[in-house]
Amino acid sequence: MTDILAVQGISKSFGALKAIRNLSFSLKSNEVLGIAGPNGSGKSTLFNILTKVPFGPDEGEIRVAGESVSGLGPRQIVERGLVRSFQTETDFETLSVIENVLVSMPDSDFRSGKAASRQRAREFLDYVGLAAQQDRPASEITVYDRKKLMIATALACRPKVLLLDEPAAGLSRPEVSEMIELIKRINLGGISVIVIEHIISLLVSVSNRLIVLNFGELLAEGTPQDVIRDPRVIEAYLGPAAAHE
Amino acid sequence: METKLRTAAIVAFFAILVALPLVNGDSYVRHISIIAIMYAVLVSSWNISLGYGGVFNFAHMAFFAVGAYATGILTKTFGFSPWFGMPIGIAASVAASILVCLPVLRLKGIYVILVTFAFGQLCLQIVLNQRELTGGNFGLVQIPPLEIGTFSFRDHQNIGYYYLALAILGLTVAVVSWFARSRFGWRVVALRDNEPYAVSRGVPLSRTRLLTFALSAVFPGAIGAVYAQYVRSASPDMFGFSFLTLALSMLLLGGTGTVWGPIAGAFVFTILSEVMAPLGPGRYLVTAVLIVLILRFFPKGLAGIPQFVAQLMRGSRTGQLYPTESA
Amino acid sequence: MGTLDSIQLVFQSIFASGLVLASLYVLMAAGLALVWNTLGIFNFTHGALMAAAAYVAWTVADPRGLALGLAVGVVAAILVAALLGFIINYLLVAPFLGQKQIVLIAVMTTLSGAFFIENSALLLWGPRIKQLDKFVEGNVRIAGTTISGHEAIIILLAPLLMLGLWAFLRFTWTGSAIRAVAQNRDFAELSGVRVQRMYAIAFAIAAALAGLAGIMLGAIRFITPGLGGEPLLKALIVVILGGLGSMPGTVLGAYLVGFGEATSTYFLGAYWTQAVLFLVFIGFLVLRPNGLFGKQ
Repeated sequence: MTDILAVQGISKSFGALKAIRNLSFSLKSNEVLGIAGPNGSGKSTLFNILTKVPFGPDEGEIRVAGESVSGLGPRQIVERGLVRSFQTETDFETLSVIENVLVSMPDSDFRSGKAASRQRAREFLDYVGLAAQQDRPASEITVYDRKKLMIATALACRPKVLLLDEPAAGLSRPEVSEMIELIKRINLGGISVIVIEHIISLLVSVSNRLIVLNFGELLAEGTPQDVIRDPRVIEAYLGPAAAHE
Repeated sequence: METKLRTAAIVAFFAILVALPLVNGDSYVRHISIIAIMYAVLVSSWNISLGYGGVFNFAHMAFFAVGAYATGILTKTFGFSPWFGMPIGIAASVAASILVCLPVLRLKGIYVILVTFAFGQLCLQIVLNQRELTGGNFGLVQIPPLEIGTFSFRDHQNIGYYYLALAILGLTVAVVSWFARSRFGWRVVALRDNEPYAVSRGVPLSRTRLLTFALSAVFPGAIGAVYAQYVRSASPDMFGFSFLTLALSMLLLGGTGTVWGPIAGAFVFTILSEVMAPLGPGRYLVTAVLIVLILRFFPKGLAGIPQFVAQLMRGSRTGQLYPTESA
Repeated sequence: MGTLDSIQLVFQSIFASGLVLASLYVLMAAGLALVWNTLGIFNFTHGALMAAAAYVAWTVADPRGLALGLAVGVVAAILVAALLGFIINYLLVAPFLGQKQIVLIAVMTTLSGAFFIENSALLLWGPRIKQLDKFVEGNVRIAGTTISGHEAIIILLAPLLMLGLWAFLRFTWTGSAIRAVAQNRDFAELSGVRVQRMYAIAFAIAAALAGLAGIMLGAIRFITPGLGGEPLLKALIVVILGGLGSMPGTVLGAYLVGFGEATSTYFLGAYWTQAVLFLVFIGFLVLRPNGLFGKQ
């Protein structure tokens, strides 16, 4: 398998704070990569850097399907197929649910007329189970629906790699199970996924591989089962005492 | 049903305006109607950048003034046909809007207000400076009017200007309605609602902003040209605080981000000011109080009244009119 | 030798007029900067307050008014300005604080306030132009050129006033509380500082400063309702140029704009100078929005 995403030696500092230090990893085609790590370990910053919203790395290189994105702006990165979601549920509050999707669709979707593009948008809503809500203002739907809407708008951008930032945060247990199914379904559809999450059960059930960040560095990498038993990981999460119990 | 009612209201609105000169030939009423229509165009096009775009563009009235001066100078001093007035006004206004949008692309919040406002002041200083060309403090006078053969647009109590302004208003309404439901319009609103999210979904920030400014500047440019030809002058007051405040209060009164709010605001306000004319400067006191009261109690303006009434009926005055603004 | 003499003469006249302008700008900008620092808003009534104070001073002092003398007029005008500032804060700013768009809302409410005050002045005092007496008659020679005694007072008053303001903010309890609120509102509130009251006091002080600037202006320019319009713009430029949130920056900004304007007026003329000033201002907003000394 080829690497759909290759990250080589990226770093990012904010003044004296080094948010990401010399980080390298790769994502294979059709793989789901989980990212875990304590709060402040640089997970969300990593997504910011990858998509250049709002900033790129200080150094290092990012390749999507073999092609470097160094000189590209955020919009071109989306066009290359690298699309993210945000940690907090985010929406265009004054647009309707379907307009949230429509505004995210690329130019090519609008070449065959208005009805066709609406139909397309409806398919994305249907995919995440929001078709019934299509004409409601996005500000009026539930938190869970807004999280799903954010994924629908990301899918509307036709990602090759979907970056999910804590998709299950704040969800109830049945909703988390549904989210796991949704991520698996997206992956089966041929989209590679990187998912940041604190909920270990989600990470274990969707990820082929798991990496753990700590202080902006790669702490551990491997299969989910191995990584969560790694003493260094337990130490990073729970402090040194827990690792030796 | 709702769309039918809407269409009927729009048809009725324009039918009344088209028929008005046929039933009323009074020159005072004619003048006030022309001014109201012109304000409606100015305010509803301002709504594109300020309301839908959420960009605090305080240069919109300067675009109007730039359009008026450009038309006046080129048709009076350089002998262009008055029929080139409107294209000249539009070109000048759009050029000015792109010029002011470039710094705006790099700025946020209060700085956008300051830079757009400073742009208007810069234009004003240049106008005052170039006295030979602009008439300086006294304004530019004797701008050539529009004529077709022997028919002057001033004949029959300015009936030509009335219908010309009305046609521009019709076009403005058509464009703003299209805009609000177009992909371009969604992008503009998406950037207002959440800029980083919009960018992360591939909305092109700079291009969309520039187009927003350019589109919204077409109309003040056109109206600036026609206004200059109608009153046959352009004055430095067009860059002033008072004019800006007046237009702003119309926009706030009507409600930003809706197609009909600003138009209603412009008409209600123009008529209100005429009713209050005997008060002299006192009417500006009423204006000022009105703006503050609207901001305080009706942040959505006239356009928010139906929702407000609905809330009253449901007996839930606690419902927020300002869902996004509470900290 | 003749060239050197004329260069010296040019320099002297630029220096004198620059110093007068700069000192005026210090007076105009100090209050605006205080409100921005403390409340985080721009007070667009600042210019209108200058005009209002000048009118009040005229009415109290002038023989055609109450004829109580200039000193009483000045005190009365400053008190009225402070009271107006208090009212403006109460009606136009305080009710909107805490809203997400407060900076933009405050622009609109205070613009309306300015509109209200200016038109009230027009109603109360009519369109007839008025002028205050100069504080002192006669001329003073500084740096080889002659300026009026009134201008000399302005030059002295500006640094004294800033020193006073600095001492107030530094050494009094109220001043410290205002600074605390400006730095961290929530923390100040937790420490028992009454935030709303500090805002009101800061606003009233700023208005009094505007009033003083208006009185000084009222003796060298004609008093009209629009007296403060141009000074407000200049004060905005000074505050931005100095870097928002910095009092020393504001003072430096005022002297830079003052001397820059005097130099430019000498070489380019008054009309071009204003255009250049706004052009430089726009350039600054774009390239260094945090001012000369602010961090990028």
